[in-house]
Amino acid sequence: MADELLGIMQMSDSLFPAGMFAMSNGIEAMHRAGDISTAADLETLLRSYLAHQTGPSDCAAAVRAHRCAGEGDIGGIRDLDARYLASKSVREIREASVRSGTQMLRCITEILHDEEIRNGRMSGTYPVSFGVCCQALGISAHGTAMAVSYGFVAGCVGAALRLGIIQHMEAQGIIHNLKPDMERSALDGCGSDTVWQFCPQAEILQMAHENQDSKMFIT
Amino acid sequence: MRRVPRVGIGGPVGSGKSMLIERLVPVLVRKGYAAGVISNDVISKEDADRIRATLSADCTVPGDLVVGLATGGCPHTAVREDPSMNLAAIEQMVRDHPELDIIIIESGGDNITTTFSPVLADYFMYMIDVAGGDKYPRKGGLGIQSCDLLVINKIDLAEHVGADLDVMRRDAVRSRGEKPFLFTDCRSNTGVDEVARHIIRDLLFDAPPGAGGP
Repeated sequence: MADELLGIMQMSDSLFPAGMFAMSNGIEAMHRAGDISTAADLETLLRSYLAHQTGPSDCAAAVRAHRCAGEGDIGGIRDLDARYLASKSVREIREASVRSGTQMLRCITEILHDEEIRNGRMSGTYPVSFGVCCQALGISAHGTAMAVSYGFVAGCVGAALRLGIIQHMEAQGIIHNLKPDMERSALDGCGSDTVWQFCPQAEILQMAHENQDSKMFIT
Repeated sequence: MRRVPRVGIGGPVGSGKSMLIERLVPVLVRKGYAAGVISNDVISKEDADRIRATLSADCTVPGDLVVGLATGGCPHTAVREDPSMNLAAIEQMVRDHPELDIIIIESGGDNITTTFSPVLADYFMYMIDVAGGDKYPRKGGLGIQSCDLLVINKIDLAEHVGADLDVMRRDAVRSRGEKPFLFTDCRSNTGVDEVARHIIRDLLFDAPPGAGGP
């Protein structure tokens, strides 16, 4: 129990070296477009992300990868990885997901599928790698989904802090307020047989953000 | 995959890191070394775009050998606590260009405690400029104290901003002991050859170009 709890903390800590600190998940683009300017705006956006992307896509992919890794189903992980990658329409999101996922796998050494990635047979997307690493660390499927969910929210809130949209107390308030949504998002991921997402407005803004000359975040 | 020797260049915004790279790389290329550049930027890829334009104008370096990374407002994190983005970029660069002899990684930001992770950079240069005030070497900080080579740039401006180079020289010795420092004026190429000599001697151990082999 303690091992699992500590493993969840480790995997969802911003200290974990996977490069996620450079992502704003569209928040920079939305802030520039004038769509987000207050803590309430951010909280509403994150609630929507958790329901329409993090739960059904990231948590679901991490949980399925976790299950496949537990069963030694390498083909299943490879298939899931390819499907997840194909579902991301924003180029910089795809590239960052692969970069972070691959680095995460490297960090959790001796992971069984690492050779697959080295040989280019798998992309190593972030949530898929996350699920595989959590399985290796003895973290449950639910714990895995919770870590994905929390990591997403904490990353977005951190980006909003650096962009000056919110202040430090507001950041903690948002995280606190979203706890039920994070839990729901994780449960959605655990109970899902499919990986899907629906956030076209955010994706269109992120596509435009890719081509901006001056920006703080990858996307 | 073999490890291509890497130089990390840190220092405050505006100290001349990009200019140094633009002047340093042609010196290395003229000596036969194949070089790549990764530029971590706080707010944009402007530095990388400028370096790429400068170095590819005379075919010194192919365009894909200058890569810009957006670092989410945390350039120091990207080269120290979590260098994963840079490591991935280096890996891709070496995969595409196995002929490389050296990779230069630039990271800006007004933080005198900036250092590079040894996993990322084998040789660390910290750059300041006289216009920031002659107090800088005295203030110390991890970057100034621990770097392999301290570069004090824009010495041509010293008389205009009231900076005393003798004070900077004295304080650099005080805070760094026997570790080297150089005065440069990159715009006029003053001291750039000496920077290249330090890198070739202390990082490449005087190995000839291509010694690492693809």
